[in-house]
Parts: sequence; C-alpha cells; structure tokens
Amino acid sequence: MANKKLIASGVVAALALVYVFGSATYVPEGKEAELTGQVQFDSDQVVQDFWSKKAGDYFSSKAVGTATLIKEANGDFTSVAKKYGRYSMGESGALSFIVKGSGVIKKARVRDKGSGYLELEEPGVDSSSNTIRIQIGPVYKGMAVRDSISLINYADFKNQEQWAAVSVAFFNLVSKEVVAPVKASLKEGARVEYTGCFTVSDIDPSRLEIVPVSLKVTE
Amino acid sequence: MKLNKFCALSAIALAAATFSASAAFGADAPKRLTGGGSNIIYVITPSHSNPFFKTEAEVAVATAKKLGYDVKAVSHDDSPVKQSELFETAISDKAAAIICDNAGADATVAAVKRAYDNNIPTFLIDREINEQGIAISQIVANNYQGAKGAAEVFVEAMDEEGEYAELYGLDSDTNAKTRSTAFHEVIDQYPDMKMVSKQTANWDQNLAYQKMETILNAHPNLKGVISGNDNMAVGAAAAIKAAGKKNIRIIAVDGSNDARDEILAGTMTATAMQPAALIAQTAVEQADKYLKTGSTGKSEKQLIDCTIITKANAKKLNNFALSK
Repeated sequence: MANKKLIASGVVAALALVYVFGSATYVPEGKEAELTGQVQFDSDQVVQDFWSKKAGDYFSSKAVGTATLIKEANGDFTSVAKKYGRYSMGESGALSFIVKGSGVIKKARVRDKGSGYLELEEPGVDSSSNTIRIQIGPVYKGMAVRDSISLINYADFKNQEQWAAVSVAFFNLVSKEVVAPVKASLKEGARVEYTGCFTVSDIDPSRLEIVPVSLKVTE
Repeated sequence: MKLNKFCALSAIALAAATFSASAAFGADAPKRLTGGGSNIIYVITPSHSNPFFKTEAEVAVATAKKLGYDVKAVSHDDSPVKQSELFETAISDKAAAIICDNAGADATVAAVKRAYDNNIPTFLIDREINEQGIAISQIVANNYQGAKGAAEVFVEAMDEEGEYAELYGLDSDTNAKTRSTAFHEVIDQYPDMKMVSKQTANWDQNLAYQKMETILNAHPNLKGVISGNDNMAVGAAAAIKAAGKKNIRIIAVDGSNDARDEILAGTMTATAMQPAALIAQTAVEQADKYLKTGSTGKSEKQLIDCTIITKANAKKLNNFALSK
C-alpha cells in the first residue's frame, strides 16, 4: 500500500513538473512581440515596406497641384488643412501637404554636402508671393515625408528617437532613389516634374520647401 | 507518508505558482483604473526654478482645480529616488490620478507600475518613458523635431561655416541626448561647421555662464553656440555680453520668455517652443475624462510639436504659448 501511495504521489509530482515546464512557451528571437503585444518596429523596414508596396499609389492619389493649393489657401494654409493636408497631431501641430507640379529651374544649388535645392518658376504660382523650392539634399529640412503619411504613426514606436529614425530613413530613400538618378541633369533652365511633401514653415509660410518623392527632368 | 504529503503539497504549490504567474503575464486587456479613492490629483515635476517646469506645474494645478480636484504639486528635482518616494506618498494619499514630468525614462517605469497596481492612473507629460501599457497617457514634446528645426536655423545663420560650442543638459534626462542628437543630425552634415567645445551645464543658467566664460577664453573665433535648453542659452548670452563679444549665434530649445527677450534683442538666434501649457492642460483634462469614463479617447503616446521661434514670430510668444 505504502508503495502504491508513493508511486501515486510521484506521478502527481511528475505531472506538476510537466505542467510547470510544459506550459512554458518557447519564444523565438524576434517574435517576442506576438506574446507581449509590444510591437517594436524597425524604422528602415517600415519605410522600405511602405516605399516598395504603397508609396506610388499613396502619393499620386493624395497629391494636389501646388498652384491649386496656393490659390485655394490664399495666404493661409490652415484654411485648406482639412481638404488637402495632414496635421502631425490630428487636429493641430505641424501641417504637411502632398503636392505635385512642374516648372523650370531658375536657381540650382546642387551640392555633395549640406542642403541643396532647386528654385522653380512654376506656371500659376506668383513668385513674388510664394517661393517653390525642391529640396535635393543631402541634408533635408523638416520631417515632411513621414508627417504627410497617415499610415505610419508615432504610437507604434518606442520613443521619439525611433520616430525620428523613420523620417531619416525616408530621406535616405529620397536621396538614393529620387534625387541621385537625376542629380546630374538638375541645371538651371531645365524643366522638372515632381510629386513631393512639404510642411508649412513656422517662420516663413510663403516658402514651400518640398521634399520630392518623385522627380523627373522633362527637357 | 511524510514524503507523500510533501510531494502532494509541492505539486499543489507549483501548480498554484504557475497559475498565478500565467495570470499575471497573460493580462492583455488594459485594466480600468478608477483612482485611489480620494479627490487629490498629484502634480509631480522637476524643480520649478526652470520656468518651463514652473509653467507646466502651474497650468496643471489650475486646470485640475477648475475641474474640481484637490491638488498637491511637488518636485522630484530630477532624482528618481525622490520621485519614487513621491509616488509612494501619492499612493498612501489614495490619489485619484498622478500627472508627472518624470525623472528618467527607465527609472520611472517601476514607480508608474506601482501606481498602476494601486489603481491610480498616471499621465506623463513632457518626457516619455521606455514602456507602454502602464501609463494612461504619455503627452510629450517633440524634442527631436524642435531641436532639428532650431539647428536648421542655426546653420543658415552661421552661413554653414565656423566654430561653435555646445552646452549639454542633464545627463540623466533623455531630452538632453535627444536634443543633442537632433542638433548634430543637421549640423554634422556641413563640413565647414566645427564644434570646438562641448560642455555639460546641467540645464543651469549660472553653470552655463561659467562654462561659456571658459569657452570664450579658449576659442576667440567662436561664432555660435547650440544649447540644450533656454536657461543655458540665456546664461551663455550673458557671458558673451560680459566678454564684450557680438554676433555669436545662439540656438536652444524650450521657448521661455527670457529666450524670447534675447531673440528680440538680437542676442539669441532661435529657440524651439515646447507648448508646456498645452501639454499640462491636455494631460489633466485627459485624466478627468479617464476617471469619469474609463477612456481618454486618445492613444497612450501623444506627441506635441514644437514651434520654431525667431525674430519673425518671437513677439507672439508668452509663457510657452503663441498668440494667433
């Protein structure tokens, strides 16, 4: 009897051990998020995925003509925020727009370091009241590309540094895939066609510093 | 028999232990926190000697009082230990909610978790923590965007060349690193911009004055200063004036009235205004809404953009807010 009891207790103890260790979940490296619910995005990967799968359709479907936007805004971009723009914080914060247009380069500041730009003469835009600049890097001002896209949100990232890295990753792609292929042809007098993003400047709202997501030299 | 009992008890104990462990870690749905039971809102911030923290604390207190709460406003002086004690006090006071500008992104996690475990919701302002799911809101100023914008103005004002110095904030504050990183992300891409000195001045005006005196002696050709906050920038501007130097460009982050006056006087070039008043007010309003309805209606992490202040718009700046 005593032996039977001993065996029975042994079985209970063994089952308990199986329960303890058998119920532990093996989590492969990189899959922790599925268990904890804390998804940590890789900035480069998020941006690369968006760029290769969604960017083309997204930007072309949302872009408004630069001349149309300036005309409708009539000096106050907040008046057309709802119709065309995106605020960084829902209903306030930095206001960004996705725009498209074409024009002749009247000033080209093409550089290997620092912030370069193309100043455009664009039909339908009065250059005495608005300046159109296409940023061509390698330093890009602001965070316009990231902040124009409603599909990528700050809440999905761990902190501001990761969030800032998303913007940097976009600019790296712009440098490599948008500007570099046409850089040699960006000369004064050339005509360019662009789609791009800009954030309304706190200091000088009449100057549009557009980061191109598509840039073609047409003649 | 003794052995049998031991085995059976061990099995039960082990089973109970694993059950409670899996219950603790398997909690997916956010728990609704209803407050500790009193009507007190705790406002915990860094020292009010910095006008930024003073403003956010004052606005939080005023908003909470207006909404019918009793308020206790205290300072952790950027000490995680003191902050932890203040959280304990809030817990024993059965606080309804805690509004906190915290003393460290990692060091604060445990304190907020303790409040959470005691049914007290925490609403973080200005600085974020490195964990989600334990604070109800993290309403933070976008330091990165603000510092980057200020650095862009700086590079233009420097004509993209020349010697400059950096005044760095308090090491334990993630904002010090975030702002410095953002400054350098812009400036370091200009090969003719040369940083000749980087000094820690702990966000402090007097210390910045002393450090600036030394820097000016060692680098007579200094053309610019980048500062982690307005306090240090104002200290630097005073040292520059005292040394009889002119045309040294200074940029910072914060948006205080002191910095505004320096910008209007031409002794500072730019700052990035963090909307302290808006952040504090929003946090208290969300705390009130959460206590009443169980939801703020917003995601936990909320980023509030800074506004770049130069001579062009400085006149509109008052107490960390811009008039229309």
